[in-house]
Amino acid sequence: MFPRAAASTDNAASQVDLPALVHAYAPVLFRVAYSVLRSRTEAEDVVQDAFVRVLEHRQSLPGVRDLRVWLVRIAWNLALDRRRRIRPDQMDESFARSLVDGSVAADAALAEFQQIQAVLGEMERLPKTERSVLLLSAIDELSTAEIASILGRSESAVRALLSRARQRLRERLAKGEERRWKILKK
Amino acid sequence: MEDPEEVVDTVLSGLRAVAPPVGMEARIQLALQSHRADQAPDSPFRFRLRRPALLGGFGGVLVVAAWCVAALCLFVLAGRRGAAKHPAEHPAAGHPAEQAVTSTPASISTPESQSPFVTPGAGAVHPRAVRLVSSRPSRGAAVAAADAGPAASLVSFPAPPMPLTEQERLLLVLAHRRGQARLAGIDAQKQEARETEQFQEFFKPEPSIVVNDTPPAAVDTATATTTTPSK
Repeated sequence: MFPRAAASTDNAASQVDLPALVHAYAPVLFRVAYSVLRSRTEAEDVVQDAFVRVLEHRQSLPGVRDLRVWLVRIAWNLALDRRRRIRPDQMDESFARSLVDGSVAADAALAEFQQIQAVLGEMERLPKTERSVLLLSAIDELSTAEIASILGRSESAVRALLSRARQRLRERLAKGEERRWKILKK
Repeated sequence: MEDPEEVVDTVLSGLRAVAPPVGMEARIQLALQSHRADQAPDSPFRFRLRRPALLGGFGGVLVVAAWCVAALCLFVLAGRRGAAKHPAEHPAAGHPAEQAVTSTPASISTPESQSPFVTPGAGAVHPRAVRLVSSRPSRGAAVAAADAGPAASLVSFPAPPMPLTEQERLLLVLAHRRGQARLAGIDAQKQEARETEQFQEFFKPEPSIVVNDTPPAAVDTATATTTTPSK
């Protein structure tokens, strides 16, 4: 893999090819940060901060075994740190709007938007580990082993957490739908 | 209505498909370059900070000298501020009345002179000046008192007088308008004679009123003679 070769350059840490690293990893880091923050500008800031960290700790780069996991972990922690400063109501709604099908009628689009918002809200209310596993599993580039390495869990634990997260999310959404229908019937 | 599972999949696939903004990589490259330039070793300040061994020689002397100069400046500035805040500690710069008071320390130590109100004995000195000087003993006096030993430490110093209120200040202004000139012109005997004369004037019986002991028949004739019609 090219980035790993770029990172594990001989012995001179100063010879790390940062432009190559940025080119290879910026998209995945952006997706990781965006899944937490749901804001494009904030996610870009996180990616930039992650590469600044790389620059500052480039002396230790040759000792890094899996550079992608290491970078994703940095970006993940930075995004979580930044996420603590943002309230859920301050998060960008443009992501939910972008998922709504534009070809349907306005009332159907509104209902779909509300459903997506409900899913995002329930995802925020999931337990921390389950939410982390669910969000990281949404990123294609990351395997279960890599997610386990990022979160410091075993692979089986990650699989169990993912299954539990989806189950819990399904149940909560069903309950929410029932509640909504009851209110509408009244 | 869609199945919740489908909505969850839609959301997750949306997160998966998010594309980074255009030009993000270029912006990150620029930021990294600027960060690297900040960390460049050719910056003289950073060079010195990264090599503290150099500070042990000439750099250390410079730092110590800079600290000494800063401390000296602070000391001088603090001294000037203190002098500006307490002009009463410098008799040459004060009011003439204050100079007079400081030249007679015996009168300062008396309790009457520390009162904000004027007593007849201290009429020549402005009470404000007395208060200012007496409330701030000089440093020399304090050192002398400390050197005098335990006997001097037993002497109790009264608390400094409270600042005058607005009413007290107005009262002082009223009481001291031309006060010294008036006091100089007072003669006790003349004052007494004037008061006696005013008393006599006030209680002197009017000449037109006559005490009448005659019978009522004669009253008419008496009133007819005494009262003169004004119109």
